[in-house]
Amino acid sequence: MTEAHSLILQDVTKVFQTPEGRTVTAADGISLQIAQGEFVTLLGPSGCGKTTTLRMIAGFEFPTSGRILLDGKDIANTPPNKREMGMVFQSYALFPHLTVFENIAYGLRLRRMSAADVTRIVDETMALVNLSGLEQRRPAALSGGQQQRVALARALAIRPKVLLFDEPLSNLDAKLRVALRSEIRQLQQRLGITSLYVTHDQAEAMSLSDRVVVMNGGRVEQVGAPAEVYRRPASRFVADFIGQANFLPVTATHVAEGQARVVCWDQSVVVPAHPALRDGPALLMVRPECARLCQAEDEQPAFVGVVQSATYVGSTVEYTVLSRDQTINIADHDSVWTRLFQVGDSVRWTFDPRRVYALSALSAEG
Amino acid sequence: MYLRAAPLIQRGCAPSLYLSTLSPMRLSRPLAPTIGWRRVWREYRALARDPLYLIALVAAALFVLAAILYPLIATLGQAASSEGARVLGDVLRRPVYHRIILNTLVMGLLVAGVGTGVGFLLAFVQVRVAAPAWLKRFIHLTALVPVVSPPFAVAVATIVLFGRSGLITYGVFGARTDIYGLPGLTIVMTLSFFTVAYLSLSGLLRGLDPAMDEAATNLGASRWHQFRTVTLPMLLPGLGSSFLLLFVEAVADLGNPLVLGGNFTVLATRLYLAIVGEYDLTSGSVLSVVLLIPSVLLYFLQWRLATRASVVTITGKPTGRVLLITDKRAVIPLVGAATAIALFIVLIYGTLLVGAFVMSLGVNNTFTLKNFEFVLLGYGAEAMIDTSFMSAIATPLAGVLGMVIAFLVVRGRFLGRSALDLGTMLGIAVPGTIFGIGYLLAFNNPTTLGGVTLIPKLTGGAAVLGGALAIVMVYVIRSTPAGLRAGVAALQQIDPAIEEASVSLGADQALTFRKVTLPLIRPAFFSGLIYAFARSMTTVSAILFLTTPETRIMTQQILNETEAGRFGNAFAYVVVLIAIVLVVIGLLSLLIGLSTGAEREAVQTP
Repeated sequence: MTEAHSLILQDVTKVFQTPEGRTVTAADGISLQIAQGEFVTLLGPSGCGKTTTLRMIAGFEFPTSGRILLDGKDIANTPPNKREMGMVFQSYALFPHLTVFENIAYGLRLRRMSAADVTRIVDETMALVNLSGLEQRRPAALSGGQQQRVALARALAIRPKVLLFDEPLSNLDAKLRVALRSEIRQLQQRLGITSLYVTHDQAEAMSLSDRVVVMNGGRVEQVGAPAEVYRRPASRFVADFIGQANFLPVTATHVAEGQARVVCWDQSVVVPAHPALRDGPALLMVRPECARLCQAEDEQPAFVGVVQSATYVGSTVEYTVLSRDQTINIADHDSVWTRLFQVGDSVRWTFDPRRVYALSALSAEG
Repeated sequence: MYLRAAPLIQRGCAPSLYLSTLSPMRLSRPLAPTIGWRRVWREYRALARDPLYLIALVAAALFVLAAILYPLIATLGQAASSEGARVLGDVLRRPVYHRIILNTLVMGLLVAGVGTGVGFLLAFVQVRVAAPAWLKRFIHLTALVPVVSPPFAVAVATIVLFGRSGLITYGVFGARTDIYGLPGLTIVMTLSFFTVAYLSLSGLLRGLDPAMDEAATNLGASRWHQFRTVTLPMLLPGLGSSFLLLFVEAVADLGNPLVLGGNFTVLATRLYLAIVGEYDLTSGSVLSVVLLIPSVLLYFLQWRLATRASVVTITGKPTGRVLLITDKRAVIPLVGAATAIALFIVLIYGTLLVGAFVMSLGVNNTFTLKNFEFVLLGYGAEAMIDTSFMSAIATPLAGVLGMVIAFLVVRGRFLGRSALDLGTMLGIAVPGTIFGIGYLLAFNNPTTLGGVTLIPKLTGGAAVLGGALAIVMVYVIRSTPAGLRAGVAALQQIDPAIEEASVSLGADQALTFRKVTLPLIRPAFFSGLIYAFARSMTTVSAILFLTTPETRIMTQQILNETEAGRFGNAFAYVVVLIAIVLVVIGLLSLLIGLSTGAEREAVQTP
């Protein structure tokens, strides 16, 4: 539909002054490149600076330092109403005194379009988000999902250079959230609009984005494709925040080319490793679904433990196993159809060495 | 500070307005479509099982019937008599009455328009414009001052400053201006009443989701465009409600037109003349009805609007911060105008203060304490003590009644709940003067039923306690609505599940109310008390007909001194009155401060 635009953040920092006079660094040296037509998500817990970063791009906050470039041009001095960035707000921020049609037409009328053009674009946009027929309703007469679509249509109608989403689905129920996020993704793919999305929901981030930016404490922890941040987290924080993970203390030896030999509780295995890993103490990330309880006696590596709890979920059986004073979470697929272990059973458990990841132990501090 | 949140700051009929910004307020829950008598019977039988509940309901109903509805019905009855019909014919035919009605309308519209404008300007500067914090604080505090002073204090000071021999008009500019009449009234009444508009509009402005503005900006709107197309339309119900409220207050006001009206006669002053000058209760009643019907209708219309205004934005949780207006081209005129208004208020009250300490302001500026001697030790002391004493009695009565009725209205399940709510609100919706007449008509003779005296003679000569009982009753009916609204707002924020939890743990209704509900609505109770005291001390129109030689009221004394031209005494009275109100507010706030903060936090839990 429109030609796409690129967005670059260079070392953007935002320091707030609290009313009590303390300073809070909400965003700390954020650097990021968003390519034309790319869908990037800022993911992190509340207070990690993701919303502040988004608002700086929209122009509602001014960076304390750093530069924001749109198509290579610094937009520091562009007021928010001239930035041509459509934003979808968490509270939707629909104008309650205007109809759906007028809400979507609001930005178009500001661009001095003819009435016919306004009507045409509003109609097109409403069809795009499956809202046709609701033109004359007021926002209060819409369901949450419909309100969200209006908010999206309103932002889309002005054909923004960049589309910004501030946790737009957090006020919807779980089912609707899943339905809408795939719609957003399809729409973005079809229109090819460069998009930046803020959320604290990792499933949302993974399913929507080309790339995920994991943030913590105002800093970027890792930038990567969803599979990459899941399989190869750069830090313990990322591993923990995206999905579940067990961390086994190991000693790394022979680190080379993304591989390392680690000694894990007296057993030695070769596993994928973080490029920054050095010989010495390290952490081995084991996702619950990458571990299982041994059905046979001869598997390697294998660790002994006692079942603390067993929950039959259906697709998996979720076990917690006490092994060397550490509680290990295991989501066992095999057990669903074969042998079910009981609480108190002495078991052996193992993991697939290709599906674990060795991290620097230093990052455990973070 | 607590004061800011307390509804005391709303002069007059305002409480519903401001409180409604805190929580969506409903007049009542919709009743089930069919009201079978069996159901009604079941409801009341269920009530009767809980004696405390029943006593509360009976007391509240008696209060509304005897103190509010009975005097109003007496007034309506007098107006509907054959003599009343003749007067009504007069009012409808004679041009002199047309003139009076037109005057009243024009004055009401002017005051409502200017007052809402001033209130909005101050609210907008307060919430949306970048200005030094101390300046905003200064503007805020000066905007609150008119609440604690008797309504016509401003009028008196205005005469001294801008009258024929005004310190400013004649003293500085040498002009013999005529402040009496419409222009003077508009200025003075605007200053007396705009606080309500200011408080409700700043509440509404604060309640607007900042994301709404950001959305407009994000779509390309300039500040001005966004103000025109988003902020203003969203505030329309609030502006409308302020306008109506100020209109009702302006046409009901008696004190200012008496002092400053001159030849400009309005319904309230004509009514006063009919009673005090001609002792013609029939004319008074007819004029009351002419004033009553539009006042009450408009009051309840504004109530509905205020309710709408408060629920205008609610989807999801508000995010973002308000971006204050920093453009010098907008900031300078807006802040300049707001500061000028604040300085004008300071000038007015400064004049009062200085005037209280000199022989005769502008004529003989020698320092003296004789004005205060008169008020504190001399003839005026009795009025001061009487007024404070009666207000102190009315305050807890109004406070408790307000909470009890609020509880019945919000939590009760019985037919007539909304009637109880509306009946109580009539206490403030009806102009005070009309209650004055109503009380004269209803209580000038003992009320008897089958030879048994139900209510003794409350007004006029030889009345019970020199008429003090009637005055306290009027104080109570005028202040209970504020407590009621505060209580309703507080109760609606408390999830009924909290009370149900208490009952399920074994407590009965009474214990639950005492141990759970009461602590949670205590802040509302205290703010109701503060309002009741301030209101009682400054009431004029409702009690002018009810004072007797035995009971003197400060506000009436101020009026007498003003009419006699003894401005020094009037000023001293005003200063003492404001001081008493402030001291009592201070004491009550201290009490609130002493109670733990837990209840306020708890109320906020969803």
